[in-house]
Amino acid sequence: MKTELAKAFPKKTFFIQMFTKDISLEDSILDLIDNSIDGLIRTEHLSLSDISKGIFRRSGLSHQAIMRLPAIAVDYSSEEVIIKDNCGGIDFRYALREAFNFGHSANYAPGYLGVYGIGLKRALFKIGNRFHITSRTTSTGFTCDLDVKDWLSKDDSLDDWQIPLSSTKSAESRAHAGTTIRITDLHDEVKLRMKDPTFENDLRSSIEKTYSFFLNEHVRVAVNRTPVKPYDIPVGRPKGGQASFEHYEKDGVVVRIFATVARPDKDGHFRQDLAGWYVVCNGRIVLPADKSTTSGWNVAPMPQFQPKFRSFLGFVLFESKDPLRLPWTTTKRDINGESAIYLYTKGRMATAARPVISFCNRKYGQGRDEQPIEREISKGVLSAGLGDLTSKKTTVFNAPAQKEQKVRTTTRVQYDADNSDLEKIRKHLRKPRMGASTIGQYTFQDFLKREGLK
Amino acid sequence: MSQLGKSYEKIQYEFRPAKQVERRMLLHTFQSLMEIGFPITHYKYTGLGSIYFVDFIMFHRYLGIRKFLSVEASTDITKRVKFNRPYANVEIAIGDIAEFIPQLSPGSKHILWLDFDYILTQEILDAICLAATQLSPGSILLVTVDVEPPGKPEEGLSKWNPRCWRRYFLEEGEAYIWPRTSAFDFALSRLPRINARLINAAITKGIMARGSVSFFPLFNFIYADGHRMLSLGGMVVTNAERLKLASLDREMLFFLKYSLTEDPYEIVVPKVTRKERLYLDSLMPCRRNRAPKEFEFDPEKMAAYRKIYRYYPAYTEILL
Repeated sequence: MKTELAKAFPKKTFFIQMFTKDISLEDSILDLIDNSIDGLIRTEHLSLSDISKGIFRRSGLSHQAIMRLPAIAVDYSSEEVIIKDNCGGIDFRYALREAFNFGHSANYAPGYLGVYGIGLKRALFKIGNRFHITSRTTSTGFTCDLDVKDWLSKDDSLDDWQIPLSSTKSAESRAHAGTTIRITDLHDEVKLRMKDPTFENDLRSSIEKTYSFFLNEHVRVAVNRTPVKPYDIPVGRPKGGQASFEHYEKDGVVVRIFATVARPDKDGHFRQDLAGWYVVCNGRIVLPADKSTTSGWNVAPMPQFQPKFRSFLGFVLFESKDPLRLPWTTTKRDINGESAIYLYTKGRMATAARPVISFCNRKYGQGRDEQPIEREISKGVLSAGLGDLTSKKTTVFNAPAQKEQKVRTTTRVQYDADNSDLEKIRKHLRKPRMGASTIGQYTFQDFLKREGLK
Repeated sequence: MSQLGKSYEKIQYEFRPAKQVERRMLLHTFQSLMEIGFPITHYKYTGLGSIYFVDFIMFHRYLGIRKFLSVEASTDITKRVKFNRPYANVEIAIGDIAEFIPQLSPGSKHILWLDFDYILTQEILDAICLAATQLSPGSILLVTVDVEPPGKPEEGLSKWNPRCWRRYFLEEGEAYIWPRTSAFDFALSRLPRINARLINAAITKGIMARGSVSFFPLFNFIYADGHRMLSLGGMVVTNAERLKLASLDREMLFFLKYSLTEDPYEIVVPKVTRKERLYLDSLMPCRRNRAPKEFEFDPEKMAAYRKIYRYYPAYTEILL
């Protein structure tokens, strides 16, 4: 029998349409920022422990030190999107061999944020029909100019998948080494978003949340020439007590879990929008302030997130030299819930969170007025950095009772009763002037006595 | 002990013969576990000691356990609980048990007995799930709950029937219950199994993501000193503990069960007089259900007595 080979080649149009569908415009721009940060990691030989130092450092860098950091500038209009950085650039040989592949080759040395080897390309194709890249390291340089429509039209063999790069001169100094990506002929839906006046805020918010641990520690980012400040996560710890902390390594991933109470704002309030779990992979915040089932809320044994838990703050930091081992999805903005390391960690997160949840439950009780309790809790919280919450051993959250706090053991019970029923009770007890609240107490006590509960 | 239950006000804890038989069977099992290499003496026992601490006293006296934690939920009896602490090494904590489970160090081995005296609630299931997540391999988890139906018969059949019970368990066990249940599954006789399946689901949920760690069922008791109570338990194991457990003398520990959801081992304590008891004991151990000729004692009672006589508590009045 003669065996013949059927064609099973990828088709450019299908490929490009398919893999740009599942990512938002904001996430595409975040992928371009990842690309710049990975350039920095490659050039500066940053290690995971260097990145961790930024996470655990409580006081940030001085203004002068921040201004010396490498910068990433994102500028856009309805005509073009430009990402310009001085993060070290992409080596020409690396660009020829690896950077433009769809997926990594077998001997690829992974970056810390680039995972699957599709982010840069997906972002370029998602945003526009034409892009121009200039990248210079201190030893090499290249440019790439691609008309996507032209490139798509030639698809007869795998050779047509190659992207032409031209060698240029290298950067004059380290400070000038970097990459500029200019995307033009934007897709119609991208133009629409760019014209939307709220888009800049959405993008800025995504950047400040996602790179909270990188911004002004390792890199500066500006959108349309306005710097993006890191998201201020109000980490706190109980006065005289401790936060929950656990640290372990599993399947090549180092995991650190923290559960604590938030630092209140100056008015003694806890911000509900900042409460919840922060899931971080290699320094990139994948889930900020999550209150969904993804981080375990409303999944046994964790309760559903309720306003009374607004002082809860949890962090899970996953770190691995091989980012494929981390439990993030290809967009790096969500968690792969089926990942074994995440499933295991979710159990540990519930364990770490439980004492904080019980603390909130105990404080708020049922049906009590919340504002004075919030003030009471906030008095018992000190400002902290994650570094203050780490320890050599596993710790379990505890907040000693404040002396001035008295644990209330009663709850106000209120309900509506028919006036005719109240009248019947008054007649039955021969107490025509008996007040409604006295009747409430009387019937309540009567039930307790009759049922042998008191 | 929660305020929900307050059975300490109703029942003199020492005088619950079936409960005491259960405690002694547990004790026997723990002693056997020591024989096959589990250092139970060095375990930490965490329980809901209430004001009687019967289990704490037994485990200290007969197992030599020295580390104890008793968790009391009710803030009404804080002083009473502390006053009744039987030994100085019994640490007392006031609060929700779920708050203390994360404090059970993963570096130590534990016996955790969630000995509730009321019906299954979401909080109990969550505590079980948390325990299955937290307890280190080699640790023992026990759960006791009241398996009487929710509500009271006095409320009338319109409010006290399998449909209402189903509604209760669907609500409380929402995160653990399986699909496609009917009121038929919640009939009075099936409630112990419903409880067992929910507890089993909570353990499974807590332990399933722990990779090589699993739960090895050992205890599945049902008994009634008044209300029907179900006690389920076992050990958190890796392969190493599983291999050791294979050498447990199952013939001697005939009451052990290797599934939490199969029919439980029913602890039946026949009522006998002191004189009858002395006589019956003189016949023990016996292989057959030999009925005594000297007094009326049917074979069923004899069969029950044969099983529990070694664990049967003796009560007598002492004037202090």
